[in-house]
Amino acid sequence: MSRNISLPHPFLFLLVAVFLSHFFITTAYGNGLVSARYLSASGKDIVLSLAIGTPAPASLIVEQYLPPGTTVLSTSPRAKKIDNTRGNVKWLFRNTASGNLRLSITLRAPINGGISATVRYRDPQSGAFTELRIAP
Amino acid sequence: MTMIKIDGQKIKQLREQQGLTQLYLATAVEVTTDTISRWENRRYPSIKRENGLKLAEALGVTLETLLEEDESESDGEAVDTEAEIPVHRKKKTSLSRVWPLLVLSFTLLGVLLAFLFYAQQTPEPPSFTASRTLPPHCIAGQPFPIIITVTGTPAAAAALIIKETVPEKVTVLKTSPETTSNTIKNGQIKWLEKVSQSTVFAYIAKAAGDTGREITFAGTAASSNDATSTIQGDSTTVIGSHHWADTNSDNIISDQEILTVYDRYNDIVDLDLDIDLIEEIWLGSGYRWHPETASYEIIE
Repeated sequence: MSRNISLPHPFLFLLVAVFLSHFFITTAYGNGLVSARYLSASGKDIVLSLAIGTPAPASLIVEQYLPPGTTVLSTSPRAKKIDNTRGNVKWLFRNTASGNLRLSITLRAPINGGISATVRYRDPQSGAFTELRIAP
Repeated sequence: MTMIKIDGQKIKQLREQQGLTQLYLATAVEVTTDTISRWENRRYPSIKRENGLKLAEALGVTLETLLEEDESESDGEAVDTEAEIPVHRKKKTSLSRVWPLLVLSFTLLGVLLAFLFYAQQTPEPPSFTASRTLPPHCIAGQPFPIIITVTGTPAAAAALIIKETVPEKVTVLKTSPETTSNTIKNGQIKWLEKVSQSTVFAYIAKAAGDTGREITFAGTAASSNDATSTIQGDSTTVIGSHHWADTNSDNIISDQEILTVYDRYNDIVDLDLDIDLIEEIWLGSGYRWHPETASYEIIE
């Protein structure tokens, strides 16, 4: 006796694939409204890229952690606070717009990793305070 | 109209010999099966010559084969005329009687449905909620913000009067939007605005009094359809020694606290909140309030 086994509709496969890929991508770089990743995490130039969704949070804080004693020569955009002793650089963005934001730091001497960052914002819809940890 | 007399029994015999059904003959001659049945069972029915020819063709015989022995063609003699009525004409009569009723029924149903649909579309009367946000504490003599957020129904805009009672020993420094009469009369701030979705009314005030004094705020919002509601949300703030933005009173403006300040107050036009001071405190390690000089010391 033969059995006919019919394959699920191809559209269903596509839908499941799209859903799973979105899930894995967002967990790699951050979930929800804001995501971030390092474009450069060593050397003299540290570059962090942020992707801000819609609706954008009204304001955003990015805190970059460097090895203590690292001297920062310049930042772009200009950071609100630079603490070379603690290896801490802080940005504060007001009236944030959706889209991509690139933060870069130029160091006096190159570093070999050992960095991370935190992004903080309030969700515009729920008002919930959100903290995102970013590592290379 | 020429009529012929056929031999019903012979027709039945020929039909059965060939394994044909009454339905088959009925279709071929374009009459009903009842007609075929009557022809077969009445010994010598008279039928139209035209039908006789069709019957003969369907049975594969000559017309003469079907005739009774003493067949005679007659004119005008119509027997069983009801049976001669073609199928399509009978159906046409019943259909022609029914379709006007169907059209009328559907039209009435359509009108009823349209009426019910539009009856439900009557616009709902405008409704709104008004809610106040106050810092939990303030420093005597130092400005602090009060915001009243009014949320209305998106469907229809409504004129709204906001009346906020200014507590005793509280001075209003600035309002946004500007108040109706540009002055605060009888200890009351009044705004008259059209509200459709979300509108923010705000003012900066400073309070006098000793540490620990509780200050209670109250107000109402009235719309053009005479509905009046009390402003909900925060109603009390306490005089203390911490900046109003330092909500957990730890002498630090944290990331969360400054984000809250920006999110809540950044878009309010002309409120003149001292955001720069708050930012300075945030950038530092903390602050101290010196009441004797009425100033903040920022700790680096």
